[in-house]
This record gives sequence, C-alpha cells and structure tokens, in this order.
Amino acid sequence: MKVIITINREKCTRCGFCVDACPIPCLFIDEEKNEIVVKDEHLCLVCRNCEEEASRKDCIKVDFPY
Amino acid sequence: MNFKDEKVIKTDVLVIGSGGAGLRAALEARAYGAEVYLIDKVVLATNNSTRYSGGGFKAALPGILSDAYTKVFATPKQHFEAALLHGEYLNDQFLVETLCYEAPARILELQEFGVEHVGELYLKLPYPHGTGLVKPLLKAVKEAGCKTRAGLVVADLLVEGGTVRGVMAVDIYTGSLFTFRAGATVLASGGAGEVYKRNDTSANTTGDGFALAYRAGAELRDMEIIQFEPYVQAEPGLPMMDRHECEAEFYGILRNRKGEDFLPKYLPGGDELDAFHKQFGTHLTDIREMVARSMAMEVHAGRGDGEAVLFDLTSVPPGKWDADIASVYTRNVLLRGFDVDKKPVRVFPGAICNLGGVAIDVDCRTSLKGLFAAGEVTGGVHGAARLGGDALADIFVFGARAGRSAALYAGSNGVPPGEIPVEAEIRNRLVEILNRTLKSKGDPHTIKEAIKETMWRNVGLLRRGEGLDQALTDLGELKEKSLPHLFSRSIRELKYALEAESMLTVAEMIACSANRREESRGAHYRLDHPYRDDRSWLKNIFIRREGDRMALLERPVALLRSKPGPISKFRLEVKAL
Repeated sequence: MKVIITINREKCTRCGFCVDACPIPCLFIDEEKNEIVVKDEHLCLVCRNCEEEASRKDCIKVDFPY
Repeated sequence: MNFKDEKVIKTDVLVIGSGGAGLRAALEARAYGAEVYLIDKVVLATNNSTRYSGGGFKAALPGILSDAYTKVFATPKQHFEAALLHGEYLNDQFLVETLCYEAPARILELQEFGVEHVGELYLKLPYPHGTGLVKPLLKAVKEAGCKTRAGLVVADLLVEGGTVRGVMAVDIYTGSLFTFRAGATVLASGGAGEVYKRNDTSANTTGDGFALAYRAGAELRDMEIIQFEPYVQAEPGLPMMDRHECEAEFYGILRNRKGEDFLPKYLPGGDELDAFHKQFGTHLTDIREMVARSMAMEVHAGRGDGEAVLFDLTSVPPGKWDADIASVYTRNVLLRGFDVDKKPVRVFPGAICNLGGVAIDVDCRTSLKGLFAAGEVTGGVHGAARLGGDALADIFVFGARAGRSAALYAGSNGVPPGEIPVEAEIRNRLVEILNRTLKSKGDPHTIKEAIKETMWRNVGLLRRGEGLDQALTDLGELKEKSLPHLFSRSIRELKYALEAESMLTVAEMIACSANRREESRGAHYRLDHPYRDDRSWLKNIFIRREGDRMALLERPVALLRSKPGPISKFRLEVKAL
C-alpha cells in the first residue's frame, strides 16, 4: 500500500501552506524552480493537513484508502 | 533582496505560538481585557505538538479521565508526589504544586471552549487526536476577539534595558517585515525535538523560543533533559512515528536480535514489580524513560538489529487491531502493509519532549521583564522525567497563568510608544542573510542536517563525556564556519535559515548542560556516570548569555515541599549490560 500525493499544478498558487502544515515534511518548496515538490511520500502520516490548509480547493490530494 | 514593506503593530499582549499553551494564554489575556495578537510561524493551530499529541491528560480527575492508558490519581497531592518522584526531584516544587492543584479545573474548563470528549480524545477522535483540542480553542480565540496571523517567523525579541517590548517577525507569505510593539510578550513556541535526527515531533519544533529567550538574555534551566519516546518506528519505508495510545501495542514484545524478550531484564520483577507499578503506574506512558533506555542499552551492547530493536506484534490477539481508533490507524497507516502478523517491526526511541527550557515562576514570569512563557518552552515543571499526560495538563495550567500575568503587566506598564533602538540592528541582520552570496556550507538545510546528526550520535539517550565534547566541537565548528555564510534565497526560505540558527543555539545549550551534569537522573543518562548522585547533583543547571559566552550556573534545588527519600532501586544501571 502506497500513499500517493498529487499536486494539481494548474491550481497550485505556490502559497506553501501545505508545506507548512506537513509535520514530516513530505513536501518541499523548490526555490530554484519555484514549485512545490513531493518528497518521501512513504513517510506521510495521512493526517490530511495539507488538504485542509491548502488555499485553493483540490490543489493537493492525498490518496490512501483507510 | 529586501522586504516588500514594513508594518508596525501595537498591541497589549503578543502571544507567540498557536499550540495549546499559546491559545490558552490568548484566551485568558483577552478575558482580562487586553488587546491580544496571536502569531504562529506557519498555519495556525495545525502543525504543533498539542495537535499531534495523544490527547491524554494527567490530573486528579477520577471518573472523568480514562485510566486506560495513564494512571489517574485520586487527589492532587498524589499527583504531586508522583510527579516529584518521577522527575527525580529536579522539578521546581512550586510549579509542580500549581500544576497538580489547578490541572483538574483547567481541564474541565476546556469544555466551555467547545472541546468535546475531554479525557478520552484518543478513544473518540481519528488521528491526529489533538485536533479536538486546538481547533475548538482556535475558534474560541477568534470569537473572543483576539487578532491572529499565520506565517510570522519571529527573528528576535525587542529588548530595551532588560525589558522585552515586542518582537520583529518576518511574514513568509507576503514578504513583509513586522514590528510588534507589545506591552507584554508570551512565549509559547514549544520544544525542540527537531534537533535530533530521530524524533516523532513535527518538523517545526526547532526550539525557536529557547533561542529567542537566550539571545534576549533570559535564563533557561535543565536543558540537558530530553524525553525520548520508545516505540518510534525505525523500519525503512515506514513513517518515523510512534503508536499513540494504541491498545494492540500492549501485546507487543520488545526483542533483541537473538529474539530475547529483554525488557524484564531491565525492569524490576517479582514483588518489586508490584511496588514499581504502585509507584509509577502500570502504563507504558509512565515508564517511557526506562523502556527507551533499555532499548538503547541493547543496541549499545551489540544485541540490537542494526540501530534498532525488534517489536514483536505477532501475538496480538485477533480483534485487538480493531479495538480502538489508534490501533486501526497504526495497522493501516503507520504499518501500511508491513506484515506484523508474520515478522517483527524495527523500532527505536526518538526525541519527543524537552523537559527543560525558559525558567519561570508560578506566574509564568521569566527573568526578563515583559516576557512570559508557558508550555514546552518552559522548564522546571517536569524535572528530570515526565509522567505521561502531564505535558497537556502543563500547557493549559501555565498557558492560562501566562495570559493573566501578561494582561496584568501590560495593563500597568502600557505599550511602548516609539521605536526601540535594536530594531535597526535586527533588520540589518535579516537583510544580510537575504543578500549573501550562496556558498554550499551556508545552506540552512545542510546546517540543520549536520546538527541533527551530531546531536543524535553524541547527545542522545546514552551520553558520555567524549561524545559530548565531540558534539560541542562539531557545533562550534558549524557556528564558526557555516553560520557566517548562512543564506536564504527567498523570504520564504528565511524561515529555514532562522530555524537553523535557533537549532544551533539550542543544541549547544543541551550539549553544554549535559556535559556539566556528571550523574544520571531521569531522562538524562551518562554511561560514564551511571548513578544518581543526590549529594552533588540535587542542583539545576541554569544557562544565561553573557556577551558571546554561554554561562552555566548551578543552583541547589529548593526542596521546600518534599525531600527525596532513599533513591528508588527501580533504575536502569549500567551493570545490566
């Protein structure tokens, strides 16, 4: 079973709320490319903070059946 | 690069941190009529230790608190005695007394702020259980008329003549520089689990509050005491997280590489076991220090599975994995597909809580005027070891007290009218970090990793003189060679740069006081001084900045309410190897 975190690039505003809300963090801001990068998905706790705190609806999604 | 603009905000009380302590302080200060501004370095009431806690309280509330996972005391007096015995008398006894006698009222009162299922959050709410605490409290804070703002990373406290008059903070979301001129400042910024490579706290627990207070000149105490949570997963590919209050865990057995059940070897057995349980309770959350150290001892003796031990869950009875929310979460999310019915999972302790911190009195006043502190950022409440559930009781008892003291102080002293001389200096420091040429050794992420590595290797569960010296050398090198090159490519990244700076200060404080305390007590264990030494070390180590130097002061513990009896025999000693 794998956690899949998907960022909707069209909706992402790069506000970074999801990065800050992640306790691990599984998400990073790539300063050079100025975009949110998913890293270490296997460490995700499925707390869904990123989904809750995202500034736009559905810009990030954590997919894990539980 | 420079800040987009600068803003000045005046307020009676400024609260730093939106965990339990900060939220409670804001509510109390507001109730006393103060104008309150609550800030957090990231999103509000989301990524903090209260939220990720198990949601269990320790207090004398029999019948209300569930005693499934932690011992519930019948009277505050019993709680007081257990906390001192467990903290091995390093506690400030007045703080413990305040905690034990006020905790029941503060916990029951949470229901007035909309908290439901007080005392059994972990049985009723999905993970993270602490959501049930922070979210209703944040709502109450907003409804009470407190102003809030997320994304403000505090760069420094504004100190004028030994009095704290506010803070300067960077808004990482808009790129503005904020100057808060406040009548009183409440530090509720949490701990520093992140200075260790293995931790089960949020990545935001970088000990900013410790470093801010230290730089401002406040006194800190007992920084060497770090609590480690035993059952943190160490299996590659699985999250580094412990199992909060999970019923199935009670059926698990810790084994070394040879498959031996090693815990009984370290914990007392037979008749002693009954006395032991009478003293500490039967629950794992109350004997975490001992379990964690037993695990480290096995690995130290070369009987571990690499740098971990094995947690055998094959004998969990069928049905127990569905017994409660935490067990379901553990099985499905934390273990995700790892077949625990067939093979054991690797676990090893990780840092969970700083028991030392900013020194406070019962009214949460620090050694600096205008600065108040509450929660994990403070020291003295838990002494050398903490009972499970005491941390959540602590944040609400002292959060409320800090809020009240701050409101009263601001009321009688007023808000600073004009510019404070240090503002320009802080602004220049930040602009310098933003405009440095990029050199690889100044990368905040690299500095953080180096600190975490050396702290874990040398200042972890089992400490020894040479290791601590090594850590101090490594940290000194980072301070000398990397810190002057610390850079930030954007205002957003300034958060990481300031965190790296804080972590370095905190790590140095931990290593310095651990090096000074030449004995073993509670969560602090020295391989080269394995015994508790009441004759020489019934003292607290205080830290204060004197110029560029870290000054360590030893002060005897004031044993005004209770004195230690003969040292309990239930201690892990090196001979067990």
